[in-house]
Amino acid sequence: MKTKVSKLVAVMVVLGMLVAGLAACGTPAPPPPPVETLAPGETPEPTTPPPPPPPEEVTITWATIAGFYTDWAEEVAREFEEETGWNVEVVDIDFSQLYEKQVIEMVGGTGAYDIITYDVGWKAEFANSGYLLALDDYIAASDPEEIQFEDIHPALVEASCNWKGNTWGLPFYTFTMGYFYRCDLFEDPGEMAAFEAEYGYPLDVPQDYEQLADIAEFFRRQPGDTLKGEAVTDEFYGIGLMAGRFPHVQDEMMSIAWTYDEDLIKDDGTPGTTEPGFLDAVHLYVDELLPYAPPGALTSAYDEVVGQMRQGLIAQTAAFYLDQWPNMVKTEDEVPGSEICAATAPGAHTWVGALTLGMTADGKHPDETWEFLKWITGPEAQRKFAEGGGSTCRVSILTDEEFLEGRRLAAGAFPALMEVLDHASECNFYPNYYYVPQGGKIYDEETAWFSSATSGEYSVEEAMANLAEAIERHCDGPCEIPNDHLGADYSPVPCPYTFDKSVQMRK
Amino acid sequence: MDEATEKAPGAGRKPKRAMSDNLYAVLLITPASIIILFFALFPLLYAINLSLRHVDLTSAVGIGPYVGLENFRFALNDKFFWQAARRTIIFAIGAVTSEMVLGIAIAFLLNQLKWFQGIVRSLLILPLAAAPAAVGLVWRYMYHPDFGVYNGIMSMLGLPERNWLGDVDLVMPSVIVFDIWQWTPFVALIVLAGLQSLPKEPFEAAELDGASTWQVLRRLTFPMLAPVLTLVFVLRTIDAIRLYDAIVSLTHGGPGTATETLTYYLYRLGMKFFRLDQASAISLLFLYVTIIFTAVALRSMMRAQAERARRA
Repeated sequence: MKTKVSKLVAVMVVLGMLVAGLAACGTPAPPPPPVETLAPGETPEPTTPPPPPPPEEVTITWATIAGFYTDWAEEVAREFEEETGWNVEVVDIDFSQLYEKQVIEMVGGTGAYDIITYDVGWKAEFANSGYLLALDDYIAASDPEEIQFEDIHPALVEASCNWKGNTWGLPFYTFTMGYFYRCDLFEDPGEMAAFEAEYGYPLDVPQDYEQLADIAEFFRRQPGDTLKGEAVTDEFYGIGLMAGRFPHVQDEMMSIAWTYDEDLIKDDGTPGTTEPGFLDAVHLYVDELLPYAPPGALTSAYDEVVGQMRQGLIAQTAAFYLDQWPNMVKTEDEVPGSEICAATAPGAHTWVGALTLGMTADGKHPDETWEFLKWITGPEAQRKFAEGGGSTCRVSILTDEEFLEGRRLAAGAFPALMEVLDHASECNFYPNYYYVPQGGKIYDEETAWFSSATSGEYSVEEAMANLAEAIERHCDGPCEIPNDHLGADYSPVPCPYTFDKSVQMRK
Repeated sequence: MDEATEKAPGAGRKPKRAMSDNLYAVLLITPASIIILFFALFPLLYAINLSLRHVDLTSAVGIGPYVGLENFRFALNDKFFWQAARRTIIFAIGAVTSEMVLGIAIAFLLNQLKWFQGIVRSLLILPLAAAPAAVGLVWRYMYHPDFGVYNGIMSMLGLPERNWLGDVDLVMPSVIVFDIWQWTPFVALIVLAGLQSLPKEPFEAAELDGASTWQVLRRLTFPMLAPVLTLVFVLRTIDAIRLYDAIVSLTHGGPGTATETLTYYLYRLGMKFFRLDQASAISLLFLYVTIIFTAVALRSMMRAQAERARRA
């Protein structure tokens, strides 16, 4: 009996504590209004209607790539909050996990993110799977002056936003690829003379990958050799490559394959990786570029290559992200006498794309989210982004002479960027891969198999055969390429290209 | 006081039924059991369900119909699964063998230490206390062929510099070295605890009988340490075959697929390709092998424990 009573008391104490806790956490009920009594003959005053309920608190959650201008993102978000009274929560996710973290939430329909950030290769998958809202109606209903949609470069609109005739996002940060090199080395009279004597043509920005390979070979120096007339004490390498198992190796490789008129996925949807031209492109990378890169190339991502340039270890890059200009140009402070120049990669057929913002289909506040999307990708925020060194997608900023004046350290790559973007538009250069719904998965397979080829784990032929097999497995046969919106007579236009150095912003 | 009035305490009331030991034990483990049920058993049952269906989360299929053992057939015919399994076994054998040998040696040395044993034990814990992902990143830079400290040391010693994480032949040994650095202290500390808990009398008797050091080790120390050694071997092996953090931070499964272990392959299948059906099937096969291994490895130890309990 005593035990039963003790247990009952214990249960009541626990329940009581729970109720007390809940009560303490809850909002207190308002006090009842005072009861008024009227004097005889007094008429009651007319009562005023009750105030409307406070508006629902709006929080817009934006999933974005970590480590890329996060300060700017926070600043833009705070300004928007002050302007609208809505909250913006910026969620930074490392690029290596950006795909799966966003997809998990969108597949589950959790509504965790109102805005997501997607890469070019994921666009078709996200649109096809119904994760994103098409923005066409939103764009049509908005003030054209506010969005200035036509100010976004058409190449980026096509590559990053369009799928099956609809617009699925607005780009905010382009990683379109170009080429960086030490122009102080390329313009040294001694080096120029030696190069021409050896290779039979002048040392200049390479116009094809064979020339790039010649330059890489030429600038490979051992301790004791000379560079710009002075003896070098450490190894100096002809090229920096991102040959590690990171998503950048395929960006370098595909830039070569595209100049060979090859593609990852052919027009009939079958893999193109076992075509002779594609294999030649991979062999050029493995046999003619890699031997002249630092040993660390096999474990390098883009940041290691920037580090190699800034340590004075390399003469040039292969196709490389032009948005890294503000980091690359710091070489001039760290390597005495150096100058960094930006150009288009050989043939200018490189990755054209941007990190693009889309509205999730399960977002909680689509109208408010659209307002924020317009804000971040709008002219004002993008100008601030560019001022801080961000690689904007807006033509008016990329070509604004007044803006570029005195901003070489932040915007020195913009002229080269415009060259690449204009070339893509003029040449209808939109690879099939941009439209394949399995693009996100194929992207991961590319990393593994290109890295297998560069490391020698598999021969080039075996690695590319494995990649072809993986593409077919993910597409369950030939891949669907929904690019009909480009028109029945769409086809890439042969576009021989020579880079015009007069556009460069020099020191 | 007569017998009628002098009653034993509680006399006249119904005899109270004491809670049985079994019921008491069940009640004590109920909270933990609920947690295990929720966080382990339910996911396991869900994984079994997914492994028997066609599941492709990023396609229109979503969680699709039952397909029987198709996913298990896929796993057993998937050459990449077997390659990942082979790499995992190679890693486990290399890492665990080295850690056991080094750990036992360090434990014996520590056991002989007369001064500073506590400080040394505390220092040994440091690699275990650090987050594997963070430490992996540091080691990645230490291994860097261009500016890493290991190549700096190699250069100072006049030895050729190596591409530790970029060479397909060297990368797995490099990952094993990292694992040895991190987990040998675990083995050493467990074995040291085992050594210090051994009874002294048999050793004193052996000394009186004139047994050599080798005879004492072979006939007394190792047999008595066997349960501890078996347990730490099993724990390290289970941990080694689940290797993931080190791979993500050091190599991302590269170069190529040279360090793509089974767990990393599972991660790609499930979290990059969202083929939860295939990933579930492979993880169940993985679990099955682990259970068999653990049962076999612990069988002799459990038998010895049961025998001791019976004798006691």
